[in-house]
Amino acid sequence: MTALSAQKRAEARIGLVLASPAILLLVLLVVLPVLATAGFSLTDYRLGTQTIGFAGLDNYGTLWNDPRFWQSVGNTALYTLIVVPGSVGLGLGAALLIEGRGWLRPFYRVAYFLPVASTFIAMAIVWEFLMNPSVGLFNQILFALGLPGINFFGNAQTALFSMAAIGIWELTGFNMVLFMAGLAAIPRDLYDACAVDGGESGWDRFRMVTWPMLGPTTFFVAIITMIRAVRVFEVAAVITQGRPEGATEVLLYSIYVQAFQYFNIGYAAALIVVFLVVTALIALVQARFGGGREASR
Amino acid sequence: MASITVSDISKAFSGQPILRDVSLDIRDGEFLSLVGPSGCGKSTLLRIIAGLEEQDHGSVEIGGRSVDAERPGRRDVAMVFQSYALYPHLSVYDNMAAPLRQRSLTQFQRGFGLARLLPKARRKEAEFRREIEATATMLGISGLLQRKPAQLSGGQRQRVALGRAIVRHPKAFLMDEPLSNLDAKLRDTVRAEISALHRRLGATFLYVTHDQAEAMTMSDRIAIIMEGQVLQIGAPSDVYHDPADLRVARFIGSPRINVLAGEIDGSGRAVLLGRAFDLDIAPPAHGKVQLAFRPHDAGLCNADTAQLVGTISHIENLGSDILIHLALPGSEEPVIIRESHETAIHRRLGDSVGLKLDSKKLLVFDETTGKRLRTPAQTETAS
Amino acid sequence: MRGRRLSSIIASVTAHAVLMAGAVIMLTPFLWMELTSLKPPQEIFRLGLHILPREWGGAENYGRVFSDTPMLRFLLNGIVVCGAIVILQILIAVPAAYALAKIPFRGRGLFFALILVSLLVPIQVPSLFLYLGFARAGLLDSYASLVLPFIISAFAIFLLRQHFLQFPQEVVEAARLDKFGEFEIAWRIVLPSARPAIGAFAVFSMVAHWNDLYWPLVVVTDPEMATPPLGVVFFRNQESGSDFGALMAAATVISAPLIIAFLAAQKTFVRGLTSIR
Repeated sequence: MTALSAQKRAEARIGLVLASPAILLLVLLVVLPVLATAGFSLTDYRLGTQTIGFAGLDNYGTLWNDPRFWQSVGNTALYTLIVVPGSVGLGLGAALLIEGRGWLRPFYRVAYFLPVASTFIAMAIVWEFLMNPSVGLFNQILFALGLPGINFFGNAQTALFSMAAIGIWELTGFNMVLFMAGLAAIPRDLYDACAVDGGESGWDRFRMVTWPMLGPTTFFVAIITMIRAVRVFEVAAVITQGRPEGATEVLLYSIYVQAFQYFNIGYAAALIVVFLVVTALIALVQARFGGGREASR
Repeated sequence: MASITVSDISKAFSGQPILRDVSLDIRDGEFLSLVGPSGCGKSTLLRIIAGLEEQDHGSVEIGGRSVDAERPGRRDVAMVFQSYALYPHLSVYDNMAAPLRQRSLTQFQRGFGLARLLPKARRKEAEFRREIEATATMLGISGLLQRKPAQLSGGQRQRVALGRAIVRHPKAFLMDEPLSNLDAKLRDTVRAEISALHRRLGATFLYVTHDQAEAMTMSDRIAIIMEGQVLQIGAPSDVYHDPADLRVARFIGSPRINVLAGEIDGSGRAVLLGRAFDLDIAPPAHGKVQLAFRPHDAGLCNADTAQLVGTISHIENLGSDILIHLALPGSEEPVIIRESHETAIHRRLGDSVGLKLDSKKLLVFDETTGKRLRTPAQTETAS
Repeated sequence: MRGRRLSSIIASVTAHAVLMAGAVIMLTPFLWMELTSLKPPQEIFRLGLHILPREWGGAENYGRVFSDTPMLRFLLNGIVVCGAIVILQILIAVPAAYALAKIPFRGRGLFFALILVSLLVPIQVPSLFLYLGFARAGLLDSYASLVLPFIISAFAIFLLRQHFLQFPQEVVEAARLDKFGEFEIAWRIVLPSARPAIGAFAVFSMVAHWNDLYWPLVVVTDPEMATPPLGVVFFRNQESGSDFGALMAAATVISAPLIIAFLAAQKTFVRGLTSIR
């Protein structure tokens, strides 16, 4: 008996040895930086200055009074509010329509999923070209139809919506695949039961079986999309640089500019803390209501 | 091949006792079943014997040698699991070869796919191949050797699991509910095959099941385990006809045994359901008892001449026999009587009939302890 | 009966029309990228809608991509960086996940809690501190700075732990009875079963890091060290939006590897990218 117990103690040591590289790296690359960033946010640290002074909550006060910050938060929120329902709704619609569409089904699946498997920044540059005010495809079509052109990214009224359109294009196919998996998991029996109980039309089947059974999937897809949407960055950083008039200034881009162009470390750290709180809140909503599925990094 | 001796094994999981002072002797070459309701501790006992679980105290001997300090791999017993536990990424052949290679090849030989290069290992591999092919032929799975477990049906997986146990010629076979994942028809076939296998190998089989019919049909002896204790060990006919405990009597046999609460008065007469009977059971004690009898150990008679009268509440036609359910006033459960087709054919639901008991076949149990109270006649035949 | 059949035909035609329209929108950027990359400049700037190239400008456009930028170097950087990240992530995650799932050790609960918390932290949060660290160590513009922040993946550990937990304990016990040692059980029995999960994660991680722009933008200024996304951004800024043909050619070149891989192994790709479930 003691031989077996000694064996167990040895195993426990092996467990720690196996886990230790991961533990060490987790502390070094995640825990320490997060704590340090929280610490920076309480200082007036700027790269290049010699001294670091404790600034209390000054950085957060500055944030609170900075209209650019509120514009950035507002833009991120509006972007999220367009992209989440847009790409979730279209993803669900596409999944429902593709169900049982025979021989074209593989084609549709590839076509809708292709944006997910592409290199996003390259496609963003293509979108910029498509939306070019003079030679872009969209305006060429509008001109050909005798309509006035749209200055998609040049106009403060349309810039954020143009960005959101690209976001929806990018995420719809991904959400569609998640919904297709959700649909495949619905037991066929339920549709038979629905038919026996008098559910005749496609709408009846959707209302009585599909939609209730897809509830958890929909919630999960919405959360995943939300986490991705608040991390919107590429288009703002490369195509618009937040212009025009800050209309495309989003949270991550503000962080990037403050941290790595102005080297306003203390202020940027405060922005990062705000960003972390926002993403953590979304994830906590998921953990609380989503039945334990985890978000990804 | 070897005998297995289990002495005073106790085991508790988080304070909950699962086994209490269990002792068992499994003879060399014997087929012994551990049977009991789920959660009675029978699987835990099997796992302790295999070394997969550590007992709190007590000891296990295999082939006369204590194995308490030995890891499962060194105890040289094979186990067939309920889920079959085949290695999912290995072919049937490699599944069966795994125990042989683990035992006969060195770490170095099996480590880097070198088995094919080293002459010594190659000779052994050729031996393994003969062994595996012979076993596969015996089990009728020689056509499946290159398949993966996922490509097999339940019955085929079951045979592979048996094959993996057989090829290594272990000291004993431990089987944990090996048939419970098969459908009813296949279960009967495989049941017969395992019995035949036991006769052919002559090895020690320790077989865990919750299905008393399985235990009755396959075993040399049966150990009935309930609430962590062995209630009785004996040949199938012994535990059926001569149960030592009311719980054993109730567990073994289908349809179930009939039990009526009664009393034995000072003059040695039995009182059943408020009526005194002239039953010559000459009980060893007086007071409250439970009287039990098998469905084929009692009969029906005309209501006028009977001391105990009931109404037929249900008739079950089994084809060969017919089961008559008799509702007796004062008894919650109906009494079940087995009758032949000819006699039962005129019985109708709602008929009033009398119950005829045979005092020689009545089993008397103490009301509080549930222990058997043998009548003098029964003591004589039992010894 | 006939009414029912007719209405189902109408439903089917409508569904296909809607799906086809959607597919056209989804594919337009890809088609337009290809077509433009094959057109000479004068044709791109000519007003009026024309779709197919009339003159061949492909050689010139693709030629400029490879002559004006170290494009091959970008691609090589992408492969080296993504490959190193994925391999190191797996090498570190597999033993940790196995220990979390199968071996009780002191502090296991705390470790797992740390993993769960880390799942919530996107790279942008530690980026500030990591940047300062790499800058101080003189490691900006290096493979080290591009790779190191990502070698610990809480997601990989979480995913693989789930997988190992689901591995049937009875198979492990069968292996013990068959005289496998604990190390052999891990290496030869449990790990092979995780191969599909590891493959799915590798695809997921590969795509994520091939696509990452934020971190390369932070630590790389030297074009020689740029990953493909950063490279195409450099090229775009250098051309200042005048030579669309060459820009589309560059976009085509850096998108091609993932798209070809996706078309070749659709199932693996879809499973990998949606493995966050």
